[in-house]
Amino acid sequence: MSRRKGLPAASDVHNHALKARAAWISIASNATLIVFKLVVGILSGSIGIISEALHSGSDLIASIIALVSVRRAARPPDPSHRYGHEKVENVSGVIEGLLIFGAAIVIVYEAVTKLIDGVHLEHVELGIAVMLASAATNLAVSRGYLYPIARRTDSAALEADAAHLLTDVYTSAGIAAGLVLVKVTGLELFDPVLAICVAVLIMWTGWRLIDRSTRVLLDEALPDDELELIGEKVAEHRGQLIVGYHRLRSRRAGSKRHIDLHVTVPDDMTVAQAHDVAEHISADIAELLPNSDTLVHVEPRSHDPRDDRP
Amino acid sequence: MRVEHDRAEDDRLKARAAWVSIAANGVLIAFKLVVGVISGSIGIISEAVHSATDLVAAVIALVSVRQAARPADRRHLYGHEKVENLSGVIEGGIIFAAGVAIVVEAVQHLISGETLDHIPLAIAVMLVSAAVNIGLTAYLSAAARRTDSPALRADAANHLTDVYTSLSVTAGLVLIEVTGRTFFDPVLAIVVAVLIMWTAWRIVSSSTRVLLDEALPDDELAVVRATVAEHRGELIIGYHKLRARQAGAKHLIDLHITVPSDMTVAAAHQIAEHIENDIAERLPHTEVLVHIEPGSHERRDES
Repeated sequence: MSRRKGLPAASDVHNHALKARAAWISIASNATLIVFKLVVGILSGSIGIISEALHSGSDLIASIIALVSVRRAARPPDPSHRYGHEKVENVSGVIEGLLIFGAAIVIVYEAVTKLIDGVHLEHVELGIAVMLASAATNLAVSRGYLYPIARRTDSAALEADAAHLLTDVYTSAGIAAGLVLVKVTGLELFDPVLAICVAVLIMWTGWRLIDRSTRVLLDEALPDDELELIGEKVAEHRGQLIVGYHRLRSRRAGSKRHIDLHVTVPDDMTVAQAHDVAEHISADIAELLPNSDTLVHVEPRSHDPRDDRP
Repeated sequence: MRVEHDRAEDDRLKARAAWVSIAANGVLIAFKLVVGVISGSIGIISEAVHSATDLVAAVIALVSVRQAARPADRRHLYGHEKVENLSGVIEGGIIFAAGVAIVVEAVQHLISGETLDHIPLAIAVMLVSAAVNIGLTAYLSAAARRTDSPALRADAANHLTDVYTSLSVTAGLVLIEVTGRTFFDPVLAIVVAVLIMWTAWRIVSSSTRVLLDEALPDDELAVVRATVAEHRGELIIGYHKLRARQAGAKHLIDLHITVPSDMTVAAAHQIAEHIENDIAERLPHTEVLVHIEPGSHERRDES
């Protein structure tokens, strides 16, 4: 039986608020960057810096997607979503991955165009300064804030948003490095070449995000270490409350874990006793892994003799 | 907790249907290339490229029905069926991109004004292509219905959009021949593109719903409820927390049933198996997991 009856546990409510706040901060920092780049771009008249504002615009869209998905994921189960809405976060992970991938393709395309047409750089110092400010902001928001919250709340959407912002750090730092090299060596070739290196790195990040989200959407099992923890915990009751267990299955949905297993008990145990055992095991697992929903199927020993083996 | 006995046959049927789709697209590509090269019509050669994207989609369908057929393994204990739903999303994305490409081309034609060549030949190629795709769509739809396969359903939808495309291009070309006005071709193309994007959206949406663990359709849930309710009073006090989701053609259901608290586990388990089997019999490809609760414990049983 699920430990949750009706209302979500207090810690879940807290997590939802935490996740939503993190998503809002990502939106705010992107909005600030857009204004900053627009103002500097218009004042200096640099098309390059104005187009950087466009880039932050796509980040703003991504962080809005993160906000929408953590809010949707927080909704309680309803008649058409009895397992909850948590997987919305994983779908948003796929979408963010695709956005990141798309951004990388645009970068490659632009870089190749520059390689062919030659580079026309202007306001190089100002460009470097804007890039560094942007990189510092994104690095602070991503590594300093979003990633820790994503880990703490186990949120796939925030993790995706953090990964997205980190790719922007790569981009800004890569472009800044390119501009410095151009300034020092006088070879304008460095700008597009570094851009392509950054794009490859970004594609890799996008691919990892899509891969991770897709695994959850395909109901892949929990990581081995978590499964081992569960197995050990359940096995502790072997010989006392239960004869044994088998068919332990698990999957994730956003920050939630769904687990089900069969436990075997003596045939003549009453349903009331068996249910106490099942509740006990569910509670044990919930203590071990937060945000888990466990379904225990009780079987009589005679039905499945394989659990009798030590 | 069991899978239907005809599962293996369904898997074979699905793989065969996917192969037929691949073969049909291969033939269409060859046909369009030969006619295009002989006539020198760029339009017909670019149609071959279009069939090539269909071939890619058909290969995705084949890969996904084969992957979905693999038995549950250590890392995928609920099975691999959701691969089909993922492939539905990918096919939907490809169809949508095709719609966008058509709009872009049509707008370019509208702006530049176009030069059409080999109109009668193009009409003939389009009609042959439409005929092949109509046959293929009918076959794939039937196979998809029979096996409840989302991947085949998506592939069928993809080929149906090709029928729309071919027929509208034909209609556009005929109108140009008759009226002499060349703008018919791009205008019809845009109408078709909207239709195609709508189809793509439907496929993406239905696949995503499954990936998000949406409940079974109401009529199937009603069957499950009726089946469980038959046991009420006689064997069980009631049931609650009935949850159901899909994965490809598979249905995964779990529910809590309440029985008298002094009943033995052996007796209760027999009831649970009975209910699991009854549901699996009425709803093919279904896995049921029953959680037994003592009667006094829960008061939320559905009436």
